Amino acid sequence: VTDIKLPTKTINPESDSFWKSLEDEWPNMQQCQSCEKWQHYPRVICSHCWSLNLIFRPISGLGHVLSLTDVFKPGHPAFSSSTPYRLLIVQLLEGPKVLSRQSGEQPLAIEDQVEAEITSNENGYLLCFRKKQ
Amino acid sequence: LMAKASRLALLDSGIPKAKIDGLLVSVHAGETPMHVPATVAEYLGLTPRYAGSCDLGGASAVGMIWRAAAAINAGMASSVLCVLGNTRDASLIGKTSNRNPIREFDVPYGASGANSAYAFLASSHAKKYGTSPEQLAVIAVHERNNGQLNLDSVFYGTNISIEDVLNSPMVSTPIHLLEIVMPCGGAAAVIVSNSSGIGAAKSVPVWIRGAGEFITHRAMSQAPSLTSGPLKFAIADALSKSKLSISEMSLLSFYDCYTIMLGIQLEDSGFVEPGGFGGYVESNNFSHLSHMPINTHGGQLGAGQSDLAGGMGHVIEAVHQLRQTATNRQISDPEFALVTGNGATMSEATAVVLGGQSD
Repeated sequence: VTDIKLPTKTINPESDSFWKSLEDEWPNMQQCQSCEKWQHYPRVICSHCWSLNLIFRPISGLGHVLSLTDVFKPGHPAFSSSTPYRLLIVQLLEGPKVLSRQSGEQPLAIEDQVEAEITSNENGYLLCFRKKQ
Repeated sequence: LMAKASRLALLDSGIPKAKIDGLLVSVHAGETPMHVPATVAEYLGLTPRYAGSCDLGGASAVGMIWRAAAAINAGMASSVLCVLGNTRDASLIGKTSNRNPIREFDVPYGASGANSAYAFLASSHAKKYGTSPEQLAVIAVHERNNGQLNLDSVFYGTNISIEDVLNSPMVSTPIHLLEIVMPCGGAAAVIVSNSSGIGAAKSVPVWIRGAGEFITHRAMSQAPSLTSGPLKFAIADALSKSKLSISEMSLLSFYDCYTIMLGIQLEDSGFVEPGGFGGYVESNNFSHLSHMPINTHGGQLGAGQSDLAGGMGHVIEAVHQLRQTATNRQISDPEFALVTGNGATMSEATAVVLGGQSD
């Protein structure tokens, strides 16, 4: 199992700023300058109003758990060595929802308040969430 | 580029974005071959009532135009966005053939495949309504029991109990192995004809009384709800077009890739109230002799999922029941059947009402 590599990231020109922001230690996401709504994942166009006027801004990093699951049989074999691990869907304060993974030791439940924590593995940085202190 | 072209077409038309309720795309949209329309719709923030891809090579663009018109004439949409595109960005070429957002934003976290996506639904439903593991498990038991009357079922001759389901390996909490469809080989085909074809037909035809479709997202993290899905709208549309209600159905032939998906449909169809499927399946089975027969062929949980053909199994069973050729599992005096389809992660929803010829 150990020689199976984790799936590499497929970064594109629109999403580059998001992944770079994790390297710079705080997540940035896209906010539309026309309708002021936030979106994630990054796009060339605002998914709410189709404006092209989008900028990356730091997010609060706060939100709550919409749902979770502990994965015992991963869809990709590279994750088998770390099972079970807890996946989350997090509702961010700014509006977007993100798929993520629990970090930290404190167990999470649906509706728990969470805060962003940047973690890293051999593929680089990931936006994870831990229980809000 | 496709997003920018769509924006320009919309600005040129003067039609507001909210009025776009149809979407046709070509293949090569940088995604895995399946689910291209849902991925493009999610990217553009559209929730179409009609969507599809047109793969006729260089003839796709023109082919889309009449398909869009046909959908509008059929009352399935009012404004259809037809979009095709590709990128020649040198920084992307050769790097990856898969530019699906799920590949970029879900897979690196260990969220590959459908199991964890449907597990999120089951977790949310349990949290909101107190749905128990036993209530989910009994759905697999009812369907497997129905499969015992179907010689073509991969599980023919093998019954299961609630304990068997709960003791099967945990895949992604709270979903166990036996709550997931069994892949198998198979193919299915149906012929749809106009009334001129009926004269030549050897068998009694079944009529399409109404249809509905709705696409709300691609990735589960982008779903508008984790306890209800787009089938709610697709089923309501199909019933409304057929001028029938859910209680007039003789058979519910519901797409059942996971136990939770069947449960949510019982609620989204209005057959039981939101949060009510657990109590219903505890005290009612799905048999052809029951108060409301459900997936009398065993569904895909009880008969196996022959990839996309598994979805047609629900149509074919409904046709057999309505023609009264369902032999050992025939419902007595059936009138109408509601048949559903569900794609990706509760993303793409289709529904049809089948029955006798309308007056």
